[in-house]
Amino acid sequence: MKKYTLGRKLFAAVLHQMFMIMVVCSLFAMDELVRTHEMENLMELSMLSIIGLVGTFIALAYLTNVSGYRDEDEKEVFFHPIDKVYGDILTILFILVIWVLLRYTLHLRKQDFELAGLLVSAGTLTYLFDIIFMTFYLSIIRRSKANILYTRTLLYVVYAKISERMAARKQHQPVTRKAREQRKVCDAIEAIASGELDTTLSVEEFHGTEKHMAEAVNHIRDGMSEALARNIRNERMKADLITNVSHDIKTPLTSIVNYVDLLKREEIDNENAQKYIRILDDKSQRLKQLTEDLVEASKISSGNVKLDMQRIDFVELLCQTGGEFNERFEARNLTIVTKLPHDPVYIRADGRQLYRAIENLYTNAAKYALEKTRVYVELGVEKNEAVFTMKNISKNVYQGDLAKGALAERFVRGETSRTTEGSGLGLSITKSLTELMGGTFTLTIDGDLFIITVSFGIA
Amino acid sequence: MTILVCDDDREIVDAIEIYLLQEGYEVCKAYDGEQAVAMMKQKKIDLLIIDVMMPKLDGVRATLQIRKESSIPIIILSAKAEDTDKILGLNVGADDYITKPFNPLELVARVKSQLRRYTTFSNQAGTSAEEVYEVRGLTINDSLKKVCVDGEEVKLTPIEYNILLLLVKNKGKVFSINQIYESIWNEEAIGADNTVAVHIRHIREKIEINPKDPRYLKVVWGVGYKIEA
Repeated sequence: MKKYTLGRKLFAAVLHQMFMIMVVCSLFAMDELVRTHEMENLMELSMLSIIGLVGTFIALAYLTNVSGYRDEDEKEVFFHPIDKVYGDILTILFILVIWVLLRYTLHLRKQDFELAGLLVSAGTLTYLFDIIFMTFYLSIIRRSKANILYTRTLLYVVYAKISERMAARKQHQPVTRKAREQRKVCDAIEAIASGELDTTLSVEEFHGTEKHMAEAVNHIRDGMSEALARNIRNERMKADLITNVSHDIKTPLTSIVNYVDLLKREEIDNENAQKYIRILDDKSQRLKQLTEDLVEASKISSGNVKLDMQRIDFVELLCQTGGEFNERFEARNLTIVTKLPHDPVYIRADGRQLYRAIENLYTNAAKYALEKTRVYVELGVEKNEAVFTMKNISKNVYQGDLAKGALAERFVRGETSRTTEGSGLGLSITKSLTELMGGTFTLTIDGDLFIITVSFGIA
Repeated sequence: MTILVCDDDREIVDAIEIYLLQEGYEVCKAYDGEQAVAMMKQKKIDLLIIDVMMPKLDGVRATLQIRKESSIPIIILSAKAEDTDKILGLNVGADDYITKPFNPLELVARVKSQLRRYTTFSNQAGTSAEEVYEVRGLTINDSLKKVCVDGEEVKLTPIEYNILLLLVKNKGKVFSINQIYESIWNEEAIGADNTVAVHIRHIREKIEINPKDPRYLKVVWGVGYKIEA
């Protein structure tokens, strides 16, 4: 890699100046000789000027080539302070200075100098001229290398400013009244589409076709907000209905539960009767669970839950949950393998509701995991997210719709026959609760492998 | 002892009567709030079990009226399971709140607990010479290493006892699993572990009537455990 050091560049520049001075001086000398008709040194002088000319060009070519780079491989052009001046201003300055210098030079010729004096003045002038020329020329070269020859000019900057302002004006202030009104209608439609249902157009400001359009937009808005309000009202009503109905169900259910219990205490010899009572007992308990879950699920899915969001430690909550469940897992010969971080992982959530969400997952695993298998519980931190994962082998193999996430919908359970315990609302409640608190819930089923993740942003 | 049971559903009242009779209590029956208020004035009642949604006078209003004249234990029995309903019930002066459908054994246990507190605690109010800590019917006598719930002794293992003592001594304060571990085992906690949580659940099973709806040892999910002051 060749270095283009400042020293080398300066050396080339000095060489260039020397050759230039050589050329000019020999030309002046030749001119003087011709005037005085002394022809004998003319050949040497012309040779001298030709050599000077060649040297000038070689030095200039080298400088042109390396200016703006520090070494051979450099891609980026580096600039000198002079390159910051607008190109057109620089050119005008350059021409002015050169013009003054030229005038002075021509003036010089009319003076009656001794040959030596003439040569000294010519050399000095050439030296000055060359410094100015090189500064200007190399700056232009650097600009064209960096492709800013035209853009870094006052003219271009002024032009860009003006055209930018023109474009802005075109966008914001349409010229005709029609275009202006159309623009207003468009803005209103966009606002409505993004959910701002309080957008209203005042129809009297519009004319002709635009008036009709504005009216139509208002109609659409009215329709949408009404539909939305009706939807919210319906969800609320549904939740209320379920709550009320469940109260009505609970009263007779209380009697059923109590009298079945009393029947159990009666000493009945009949074996069949005892079996029937057991069934009644099981089913009434399930009915009880079902009504409770139903109220929960409807309340949560209609967003009818008060959340008390706090900064809580996910690790602590999982330890607490683990403590609640370890005997239930042991009872079914399930080994729970827990992998939690040693340090607290803080998230923003309602602790009680998050426990309900996680509790459902543990209950599920305790109920539906294949006996004598392991259940893996893990909490990891990924990119500002606390990710809880639970993996277990299910008793059932899932196929079709169930494998595609239908399990998290309300009322869907692993077995379609619905004979065992559980209301089928557990996963749905977990999903709604998680989402309500700003987390994400995913369920993946791969054959009999059941993977659930619940993640929250780190607080 | 006489217990007044009030619910507009006669079968429920009858069922409760059967359970209470089996435990040796006398039972009076009422089928709406007005009857209950009237009966309170006529007879000497030791405890009231009352439903909320009833004709004429609902359970909450009846409780309010009865509380003006009597300090007997009142247990509200309701199909409404919302937190707001429970808080309302306890705020108007009820001592306990049970949701329908209820477990008969739990109902009986709660009745016994309320009666023990009412009778034994109103008598032995100031035996504070020894190291005794008390929270709403839960007492720990640290010189005898004895724990009682509503006057009835509870057997705890040494670790369970120490955890409970720590929490009761600092009632109202929340302790994280690590804090409990460090002060009971006297060594630095090495991170996430179920041990403390399992002990806590065992304590709850021993001192609470319904461990899933604890009165004393509360779980503050994601923060720790505390004894509610």
